[in-house]
Amino acid sequence: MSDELASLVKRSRRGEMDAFGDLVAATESLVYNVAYSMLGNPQEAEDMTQEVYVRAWRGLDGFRADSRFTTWLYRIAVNTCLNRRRSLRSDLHVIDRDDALDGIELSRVVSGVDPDALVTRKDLAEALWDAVDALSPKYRTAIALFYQEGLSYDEIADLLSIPLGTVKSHLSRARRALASALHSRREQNHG
Amino acid sequence: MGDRHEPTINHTCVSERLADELILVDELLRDRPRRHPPAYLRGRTMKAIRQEMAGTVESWEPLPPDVWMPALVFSLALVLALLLAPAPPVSLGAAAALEPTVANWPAVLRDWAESLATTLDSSIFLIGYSVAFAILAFWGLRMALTSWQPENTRTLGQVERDVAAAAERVLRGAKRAH
Repeated sequence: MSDELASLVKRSRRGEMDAFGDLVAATESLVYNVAYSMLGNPQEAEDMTQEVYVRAWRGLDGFRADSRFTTWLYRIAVNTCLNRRRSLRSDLHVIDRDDALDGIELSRVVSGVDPDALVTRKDLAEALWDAVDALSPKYRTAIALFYQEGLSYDEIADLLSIPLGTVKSHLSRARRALASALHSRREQNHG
Repeated sequence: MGDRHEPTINHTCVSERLADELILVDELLRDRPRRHPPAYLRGRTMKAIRQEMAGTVESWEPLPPDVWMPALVFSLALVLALLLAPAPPVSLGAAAALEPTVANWPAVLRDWAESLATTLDSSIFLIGYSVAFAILAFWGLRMALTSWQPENTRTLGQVERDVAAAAERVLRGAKRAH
């Protein structure tokens, strides 16, 4: 944990709201991105980010100073979003679908881009990032934690409470699905 | 010879192409920018935490004035109405028959009310009594209504829904028992 974060955590534990405000400022983007990747909706991501910090504030006394604050915060974020996803699933009867990885939906997302516009690497990248948003939440989460947050396989497995092999398989399947979607798009473009 | 190796060569080409695609995907994913949370989110979050803190502190403090004042005013009006009512709503004989303590109004208060009624002209006493009661009742109602928050409406709605759901469960249970 950086010295600055450690000092802010220490002051926050003494009840200094300003210090906790600075802590929120320093880590807000991290929590928001995790929430967005897990829930796929900006409004939900905002609500959950707020909820994560309220929980963090409540549980600050339970945070062990020898561990990393960001890891602790990730854990709260992941648990809060998993709970939210469960309640959304039960409310809306939405289920995690593996078929989001069969390439059909992703191809459609990538196909939605104007073929003539898909010529530069930037266009290709944007099309791919849209395709990531179309992945099912568990794959999207693994992608976000690995690529955006820079966490290791072990850290992701620990955070999501899933075996290491499952993390690797999620990432591998997601990458292949994305590659397949890009490939079919390029084929269309050339054809 | 070419025919024999063609599937292998094709397979190798496909694998090579897939490997290229995977490398490209990997690179593009690493370049994926972070999403920026909206600017207002931090303020909203801190406000929620302050409310959380305020809620925690309140639980250790006496009830806020906007709760206890209307209750006190209403109780006061009720007590005054009962004590100063020109004609007791329940006759002492009937009350004594029901519950002996009801008949034993505090003697001091009863004497005071009786002396007030005899000292003053009865019409003035009645007017004063009515005005005092109306003012106190109005004050109590006004305070109760002005302290009504949107959360109270939501809570009330939730209570209504819970009661309706409980009633439905009871009815369903009763039907099944039949």
